[in-house]
Amino acid sequence: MIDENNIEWYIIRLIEQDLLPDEERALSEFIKRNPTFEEMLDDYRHTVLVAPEVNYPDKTELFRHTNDQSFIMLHYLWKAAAVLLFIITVLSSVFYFVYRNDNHNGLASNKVMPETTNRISSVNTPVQSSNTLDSIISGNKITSAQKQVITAINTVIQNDQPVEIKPVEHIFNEAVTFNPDTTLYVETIGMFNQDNHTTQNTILAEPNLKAMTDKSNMKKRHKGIERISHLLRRKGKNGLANSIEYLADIRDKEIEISYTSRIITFQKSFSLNKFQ
Amino acid sequence: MRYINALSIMNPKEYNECVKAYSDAVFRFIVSNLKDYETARDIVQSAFEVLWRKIDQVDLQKAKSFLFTVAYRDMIDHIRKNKRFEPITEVNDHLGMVSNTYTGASESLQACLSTLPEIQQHVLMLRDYEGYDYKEIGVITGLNESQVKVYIFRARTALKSLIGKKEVIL
Repeated sequence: MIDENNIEWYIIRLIEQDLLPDEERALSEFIKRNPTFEEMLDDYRHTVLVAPEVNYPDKTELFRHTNDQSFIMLHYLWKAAAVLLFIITVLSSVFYFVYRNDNHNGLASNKVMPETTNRISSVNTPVQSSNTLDSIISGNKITSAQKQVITAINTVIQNDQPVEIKPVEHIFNEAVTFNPDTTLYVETIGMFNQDNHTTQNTILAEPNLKAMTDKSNMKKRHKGIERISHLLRRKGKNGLANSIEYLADIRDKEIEISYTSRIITFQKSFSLNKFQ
Repeated sequence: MRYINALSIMNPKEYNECVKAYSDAVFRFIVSNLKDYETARDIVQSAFEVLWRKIDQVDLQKAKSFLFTVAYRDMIDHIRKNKRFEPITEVNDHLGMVSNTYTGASESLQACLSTLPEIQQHVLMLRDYEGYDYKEIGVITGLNESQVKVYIFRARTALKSLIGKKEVIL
């Protein structure tokens, strides 16, 4: 309700355009009924400031003449670089911890036991002739079974020069250090050589062997074994196929036990003629 | 659309648009309050310098408020510093002082305005010159909405009575 005591408040709110339509109507009617307040309304209308015309004199100095595109590009490049750096850091950390955990488990590790490493490093020298090979074998602590494998493969290389097969020391080195299922790899090569080196030429392709010895992917490993056995049976090498399957089965079980025990098993029980 | 705007950064072209659109207004506000042409120039320049430095953080829609806030705070700092050294006689001179650097629509009103407490002058100028609402004035001056309303009410009441007195004198 507008009265003489609060009319000033209503007038100011009118000036401020803060009145509701009903309030505005009520004020208008009140002033009509009390014309003496028209003067007050007029006075308050004069309290509204009128902005003077003022120009900032140094406007031209405030303008910036930077190339728009390059500015925006630079802005986004900085952000992109920061994001990239962050992702690399996170991935590195994740990779580091995963790799470290794998090493602690031992099962998924590509690393070999210290004793084996010493042996490998000494065998890793390229072999040019059987004399050199003999000198390597005689100068290192290699079991008789391993010696037998190396000699057998070296004989194949010297006689037949198979394309797929790398020099013997590389195969042996790779078998122990690179491929997780060391035993099966070396034993299979050994069996091929005992059987007939021509079988090796046709069947012993790297993809099959690597698949067969990939213990991190058991499905892939079994497919590799299956393929090699199949090829062997097609060539009438049933005994050899059975031996590889049997051996693979044993190695599967050994994998479940532990990586270390497989190395020990390999050193103790390696025999080329066992399954023939 | 609101989120897109929020994420968009201001580019130099938009900054230059802000210079065109707001430099006069910011300068008018500062020079009207300070009555010091040179200091007002410096304050406006500093405000735009800050805007340029923070160009990737300020939304274009809020650039005007940002400039007024920066300039206002700078002006308050300047006023506080100068108050310590201001001779007492100069304070009373403000009543009759109208700057030669701009021409107001009502010189007497400007003269009356300068007699009001500073905070009332500030909020009234932001309201009448720039058309800011209570909330925006609150953001710029650091007051809440109710305080802004009260200061505006008091300023208008005081101006009304001052205008009446001046007319009697004239």
